[in-house]
Amino acid sequence: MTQGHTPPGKDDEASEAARAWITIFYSGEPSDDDRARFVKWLNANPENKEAFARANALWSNLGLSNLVAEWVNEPVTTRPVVSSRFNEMWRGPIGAIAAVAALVLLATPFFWPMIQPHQPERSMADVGKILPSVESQSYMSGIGELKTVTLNDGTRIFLAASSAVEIVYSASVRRIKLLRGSAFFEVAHEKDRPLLVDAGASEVMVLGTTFGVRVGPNDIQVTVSSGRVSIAKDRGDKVDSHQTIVTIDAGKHVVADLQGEILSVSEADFEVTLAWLQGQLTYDGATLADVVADINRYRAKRLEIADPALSQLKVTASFRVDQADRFLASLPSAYPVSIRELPNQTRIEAQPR
Amino acid sequence: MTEQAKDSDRVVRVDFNKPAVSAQNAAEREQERFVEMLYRNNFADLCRTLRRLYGSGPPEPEDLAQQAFEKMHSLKSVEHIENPRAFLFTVAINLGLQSIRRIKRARAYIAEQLHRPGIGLEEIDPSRLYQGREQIRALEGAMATLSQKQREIVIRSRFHGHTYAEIARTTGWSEADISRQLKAALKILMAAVQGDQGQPVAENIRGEKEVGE
Repeated sequence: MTQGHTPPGKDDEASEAARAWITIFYSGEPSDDDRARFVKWLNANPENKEAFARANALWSNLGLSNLVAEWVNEPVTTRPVVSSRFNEMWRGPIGAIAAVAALVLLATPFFWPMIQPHQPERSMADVGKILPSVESQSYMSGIGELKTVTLNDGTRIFLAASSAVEIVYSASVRRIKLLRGSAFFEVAHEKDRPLLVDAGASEVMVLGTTFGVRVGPNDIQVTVSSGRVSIAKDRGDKVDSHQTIVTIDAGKHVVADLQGEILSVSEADFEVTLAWLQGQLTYDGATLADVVADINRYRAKRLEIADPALSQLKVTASFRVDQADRFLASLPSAYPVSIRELPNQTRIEAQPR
Repeated sequence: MTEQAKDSDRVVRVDFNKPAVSAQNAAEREQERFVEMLYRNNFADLCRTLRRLYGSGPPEPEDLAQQAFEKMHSLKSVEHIENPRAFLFTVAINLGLQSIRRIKRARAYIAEQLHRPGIGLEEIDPSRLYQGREQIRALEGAMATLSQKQREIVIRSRFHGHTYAEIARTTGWSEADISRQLKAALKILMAAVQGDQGQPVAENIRGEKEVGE
């Protein structure tokens, strides 16, 4: 293997020192004194320099792996945020108990999200955004508005424009109804309290994951970006009644009809289905009906398809939500349609040929 | 990217009176179309990753992502990139690290001390990826053998560009422990690289020329 630089298996002093220097430069804050010592060490002999070049190349090459994107998106350890109020409590009589609890949490980060809502510092910080814990509440976004809602379990909902959700949390189940539009969910993991998203006649059950759901004019679409979800027909309010039709993993896209029947399961194209998170509407072979439904969520003046035959026209396009008019203006050049402006609506009509 | 090519073929495009494309432009257009597709399929995901790594900026994640795509655009050919999505992410993450002053300074200082100014170890291009692939594979294998904690420390340090102090703040681990774990992890990674059949990494890096200019 190696050609004379370092004998196989031998991990000499120079190599060890070289690795230590690498960590000082890249992960520490080297002082002038450190630098002076480094220069002296580096130039003391060729072996040191060689060893350091090798260690540096290793550090550098790590950044070239195809797996970098996966590595950096791995779940991470997070320490609980401790507020000044919590610090005061820490010193008090219940400090000892709190200290034990904190140690358990650090050792088993998995359980942290379950206990988090009861931590005093959190409700102090987020009080404005948090819901009472067993109550129904709705959120809706207006035309052209993107809205983020943080629930008291840490779950976040990103609402696309003109979308609405209703939230009912109880001790045993977290239920969110997507009444209209699109939403992306970052679900806080709770081992014993699943989260159900109802959309049309479909029901999506998760424990902790991120995924998007869209209620369209003709179908319900679910895109899973991490974790795993199961989809069933919506049969009411009981978790027990969730009879899984299909379980889908991260990277999949599912289309169900309005009766809750699964139409397809395919590879997700996130930047098409979730582009709206970035304020972008992106379509790859979507029907004109879907595109129009989305545009109407961002546009004050109503857009209508005059000729039903046009509804199934396949559209490939990408535009910013605030540039829907520009997209409409370009439509007649690519498709056999014309645009007609009326006082209270814009109509897409079949082009006379 | 045959998978993406297939995806786009599936789309029914309603095209009328489209002029025929001349053969000479076809390759160029193909590349452009390819990068465009890459952009559409990955921009939001890339921005999310960059935000996770480097916060909201400045530079903003969107700007970093944009720069990474410009870099893809500027490449003469993308055909020999084995995994364009992964390449895009490594380029963008590298740009993100370069935006951290401490890291940029450390890189410049080390390059200078090794008397290789200008041979930016931080410069990422497809040929370097190709030349280093044996070592990179070995590193990937070794990464999988690290303990969960070591792995996380390597990732936070190498890709988030965090200092011991920053890692300690986020994870609750002690700085001394983090330092120890990182060195142990590097030892394991180094052993894997030197144990592989290829030549030592340093040799590979030294032999390379700066590509792209």
